[in-house]
Amino acid sequence: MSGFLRNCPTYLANGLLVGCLYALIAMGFNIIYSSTGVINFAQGEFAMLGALLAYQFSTRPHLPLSLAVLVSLMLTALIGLAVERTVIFPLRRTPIINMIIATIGVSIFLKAVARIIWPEEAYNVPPFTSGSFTVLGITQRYQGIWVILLTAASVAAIYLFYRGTVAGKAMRACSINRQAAELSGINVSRMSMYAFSLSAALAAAAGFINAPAASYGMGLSLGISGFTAAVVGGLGNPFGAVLGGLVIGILESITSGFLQVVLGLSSGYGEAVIPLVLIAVLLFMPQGLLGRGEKIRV
Amino acid sequence: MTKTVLKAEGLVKRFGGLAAVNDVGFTVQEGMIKSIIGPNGAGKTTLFDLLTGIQRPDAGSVFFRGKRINGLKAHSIAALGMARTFQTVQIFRNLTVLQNVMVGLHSRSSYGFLSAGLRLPSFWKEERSIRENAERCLEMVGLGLQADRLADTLPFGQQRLLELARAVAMQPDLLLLDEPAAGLNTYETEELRRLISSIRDTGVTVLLVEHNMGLVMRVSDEVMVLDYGQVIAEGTPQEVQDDPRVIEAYLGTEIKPEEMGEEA
Amino acid sequence: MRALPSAGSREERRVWLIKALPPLFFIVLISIIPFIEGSLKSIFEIKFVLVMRTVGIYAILALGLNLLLGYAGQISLGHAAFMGIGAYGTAILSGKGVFGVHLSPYLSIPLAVALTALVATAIAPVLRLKGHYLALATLGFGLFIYVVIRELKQLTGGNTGLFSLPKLPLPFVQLGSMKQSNAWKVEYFLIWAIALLLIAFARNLVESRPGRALQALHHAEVAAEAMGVGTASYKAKIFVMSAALAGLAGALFAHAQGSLNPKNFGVVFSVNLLVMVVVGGMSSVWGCVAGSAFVVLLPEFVNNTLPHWLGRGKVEMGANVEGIVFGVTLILVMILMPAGITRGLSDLFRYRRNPLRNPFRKEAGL
Repeated sequence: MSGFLRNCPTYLANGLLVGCLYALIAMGFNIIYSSTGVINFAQGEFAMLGALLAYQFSTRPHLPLSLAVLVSLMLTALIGLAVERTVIFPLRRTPIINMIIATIGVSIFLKAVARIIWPEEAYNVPPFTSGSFTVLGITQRYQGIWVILLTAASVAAIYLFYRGTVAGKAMRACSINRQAAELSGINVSRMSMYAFSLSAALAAAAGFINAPAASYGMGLSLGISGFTAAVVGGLGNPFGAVLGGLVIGILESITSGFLQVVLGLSSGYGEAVIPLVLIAVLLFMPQGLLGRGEKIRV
Repeated sequence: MTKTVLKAEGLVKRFGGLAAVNDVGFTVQEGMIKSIIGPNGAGKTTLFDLLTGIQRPDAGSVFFRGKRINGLKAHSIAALGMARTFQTVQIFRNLTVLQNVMVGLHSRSSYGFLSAGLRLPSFWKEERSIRENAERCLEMVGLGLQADRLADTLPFGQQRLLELARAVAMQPDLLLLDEPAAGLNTYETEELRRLISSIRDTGVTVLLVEHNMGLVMRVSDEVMVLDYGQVIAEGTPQEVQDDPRVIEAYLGTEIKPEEMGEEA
Repeated sequence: MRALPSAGSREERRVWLIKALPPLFFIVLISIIPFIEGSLKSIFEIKFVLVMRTVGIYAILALGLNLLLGYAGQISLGHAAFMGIGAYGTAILSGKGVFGVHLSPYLSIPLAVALTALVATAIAPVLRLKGHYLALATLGFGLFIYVVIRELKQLTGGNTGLFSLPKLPLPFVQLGSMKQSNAWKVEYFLIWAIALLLIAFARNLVESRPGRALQALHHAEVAAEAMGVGTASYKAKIFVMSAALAGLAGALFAHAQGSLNPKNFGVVFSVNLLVMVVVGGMSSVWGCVAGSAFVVLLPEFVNNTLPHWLGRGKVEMGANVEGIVFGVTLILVMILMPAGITRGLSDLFRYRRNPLRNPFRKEAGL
């Protein structure tokens, strides 16, 4: 037990960092959900694409990292837009279950394409700054600081976008009442396009900031963690996603540590934490921490 | 001495700060056709939801044949003998017309998964009776020839009739109709009036919510008026028509010229 | 869904005959395959008996999900977990043994199915959730079970898995002592016999009081409740039943395959399962066969038949082509024929008779 408590600061720090990743994915997930009502099961795959594209552009052609990252962001945003136009838009008036199945189709499609282009089990995305440092007895990579910076910047950017720009306010209107927004002259279908591009970019950022590991299969667990974070935070609230991400990141880290150090279970059990949290939150607190109480039952 | 089929006492239902149903109480006698009228938003459909168990009252009770039913699940109340139709037609789209009505007989039959899958004797026996009953109900509303059509291919007026047939198939003691005439033309409304009367003649008590005053006044034995969730009048159609409070609720009162100046 | 014409009429017999034709054709086909296996192999380079044995197992699995999704309208993205519980359940009880006791498959299979049903009953409260919330919850459940199976290494062998599982139980027949290709044939017939019986059961279920109740609650839940259908209990019952079918499929899989690995029961497989149901037709019981045939035969075709016909070179693409084709298929089916291929085709047939009903109507949904 004492070993566990001694490690807690490390668990907290790790949890915070991984929570930032979850937060980025959850934010994207939330933006799509609140402006279009769609649950994008391919969100994790956008992160995967962001990571692999960043790898690709920093290797062959050997672009400087900042450029590679930028290109990856824009390309992934474009892919998100393409997905929206080809799959989401045609299905906008069908029952929600069709949309669910279609986005699952998108996710397995993207994963398969990625696997063809990048068949190895792991590729290395270079970190922004390599190396690590130690403070207060905790050792962290410098990349961790970038993660926090990027997440904070993204949250700020989204906040400014929602509050300050016309497009952002239009998206907020959509999330509150789609029909009313449409009747007020807001081009709901364009909002849907913005939502998908924006979310794909956020997910891509989460993908490449997660250096070094990048592989075609990373989308699944990131996606599930992202959904869980968004649900925990409250699906109606964009900042709930951030809170949710941090909460489950830390929760996962601490619980994993506890299971390993105190109960002596193998590290793999840590992966069971998030699915369990997901089920529990859906059953007992479906509106999440900050969300508006959505009617999701009969 | 006629029996009381339904008794409601002090029903209250709030949504947020608004009381959709505010201390409503009334009785329905056996064999009667009673109508509930009132302006839109007066709480009529919510009241129906409370009676049928789709929603629970925040206060008050409902007694069906003397038995307290508030708090029971909707399907149990249905099984006790209360049937209802809906304001927006809720037919089962991908089932045929006949199958829709057969669902109405769900609580009057009992064989389960095993009997169904294995086609045990109880299946054959009950299924035949379900089918015959359903066909009879369709005949009664005039949809007999449409039995094998997919329900969502029916025109709107016939979908309403289907809902009615389905409700009647439940062999209810009390039938609740939620705006059955909405969207019907004059001819269809007259057909409806005759149907409601003949349903009552088979021994079913009818409680209906309606906006069509012509229908209400011609078919009802008693009328109850709701406004802002409260009962403001109750009596025979004639009594209610003459009640000044009812007139005010529906038509408003005159604004005197002196009062106009205050609103500059 | 068409109603039965009046019992005993000539029209009834004719309708019955027409409806019975495709299934009869299929049953005949299934019976012939083991005998023409050799020629099929030389044409297609596919071991049809082995492959169709798998199709049969998956058909049972898809049947369960089909009833749940297509008839009751409840989605489950974690059904592979139930298959895993059934598979590992019977494997541990009969193969690995518990406290040194090895049960015969006659016992371990029903017990495994019962265990699956029990777990399904425990998780049934999630059915209160709707739409994507239910999808997420079942996804979470599927992932959770996968991790547990993978981590309970003492019991399940972890990532290495379990091996040397006993064969399927049959009276008078010792599968273990037969020539392998003959054993496969016997298993094949046994599995298809079970599958066909279950399909018949499901067909009967659909055209019956509980079947109508399920479809009613799918289309208009509140109205169904008002008609006396206890929706919560029906949803739970069909959920448990579909889980039990998945558990049975898993148990059969374990004994037929002889070995197990957690990867067989992960989220990827749950998605493949979804593809089976979507492609096969969510409103048609026989669709489960079409769907599982699609999911199993396509990779076989790409990996074995195409190289055989075109010469080497495409084999490496196999796994990825699966992902691409399944992904695109899901998307296209949702856009063009939301009721799945089997239903889409039968709708096409009806369209020619009744121009009012366009099978490609987008609002068809589920």
